[in-house]
Amino acid sequence: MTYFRITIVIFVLMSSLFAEHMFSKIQNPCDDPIISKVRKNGMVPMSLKERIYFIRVKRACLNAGGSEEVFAQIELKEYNRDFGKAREMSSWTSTFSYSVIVALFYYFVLGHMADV
Amino acid sequence: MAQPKLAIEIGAGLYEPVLSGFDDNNQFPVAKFWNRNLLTNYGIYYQFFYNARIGYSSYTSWAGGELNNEGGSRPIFFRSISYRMFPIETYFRYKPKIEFNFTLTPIWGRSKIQLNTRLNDSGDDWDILLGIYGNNSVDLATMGSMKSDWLGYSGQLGIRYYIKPYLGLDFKFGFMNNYYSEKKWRLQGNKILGPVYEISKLPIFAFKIVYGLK
Repeated sequence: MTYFRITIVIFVLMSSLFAEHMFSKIQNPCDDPIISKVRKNGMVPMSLKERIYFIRVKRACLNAGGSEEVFAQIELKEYNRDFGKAREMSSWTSTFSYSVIVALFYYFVLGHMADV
Repeated sequence: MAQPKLAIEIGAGLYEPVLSGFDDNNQFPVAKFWNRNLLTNYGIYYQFFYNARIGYSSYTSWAGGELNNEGGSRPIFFRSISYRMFPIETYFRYKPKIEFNFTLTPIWGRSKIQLNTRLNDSGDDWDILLGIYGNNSVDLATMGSMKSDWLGYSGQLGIRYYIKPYLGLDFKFGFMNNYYSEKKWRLQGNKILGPVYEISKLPIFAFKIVYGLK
C-alpha cells in the first residue's frame, strides 16, 4: 500500500512538473525556438524539461516532413565540439593517466608474476 | 559549452571476493552470483578541470535471507559490503563519440550485518551469530547492526561510448586493494570479531550508464 501511495505521489509530482512539456500540442515544430537554441548551445546545457521538449519537437518536426539532416547536424556539431575540446589531455592530466596505467600494469602483470 | 560538467551514473559491477566468513558456515544464505559477485553502483561526477572529473561513486554488494541458526528464531539476515570511492578521473576523446578514461580513487569501505529478529529472541540470535566468529556473549540494548570500516584504493581504466552528447555507456576494468580486518567490527560500542573477507586484491569490472545533467 505504501509503495502504491509513493507511486501516485511521484506520478502527480512528475505530471505537474512536466505536464506543459509532455502534453501540450506543438505548433510549427520545425520553427520552434528550441531548435535554434540547441543549434547554438547544444543539448548538454539544457535542463531535463527542455531535453524532453526538444525530443518532442524533433519528433513532431520529422512527422511534419522536416529534414532529419538538420537534427543530425546539430548532434554532429556538438560531438565535434566536445571532441575538439577533449581530444588532447592538458596540463597534469596526462601524467595522471600514465600513473593509472602504471598502477594497472603493476597490479595485473607484476602482481600476477609475483604470485606465480 | 563542452561536454557535461555535472553527471550522474548508475550501473553494475562484477568482482570475485572470497567471503569465507559466510562460506565456511552453512547457517548463512547460500552463495549465489547476485550476492557474491554482483555490485550495484551509483555515482556523481563534476568536471573541475579541462580533462578531469572528481566525484563520488559507490559499489555495493548485497546479501539477504534466513539465518539457519539452530536454537535461535531463524531471523532474517542482511549483509552489505560498500566500496565508497572518491575518484579523480582524467579522460580524452579518441573519436567524437568514444572516450578513454583513467581513474584513481581512495576507498572508504563499510560492511554492515543486520538481523531482523523478534525482540524476545534478539539476544539469542545475536549470540549465535557472534559465536560463529569466536565472540563471547554481548549485551545488547535493542536490536542493532554490526559494522566495520576500512580503507583502500582502486585504479580503473574505462572506455565510454556516447549515445547522445549527454548520455554515455561506460565500461571500466581495474583493481581494488582493501585493508580490511575482521578484528575491527563494532556492535553498539563493543569491539567484536567479524567474518573473514578476502578482499585485499580484487579485479573489478563495471558497466554504467552516465547521464550528463549540465
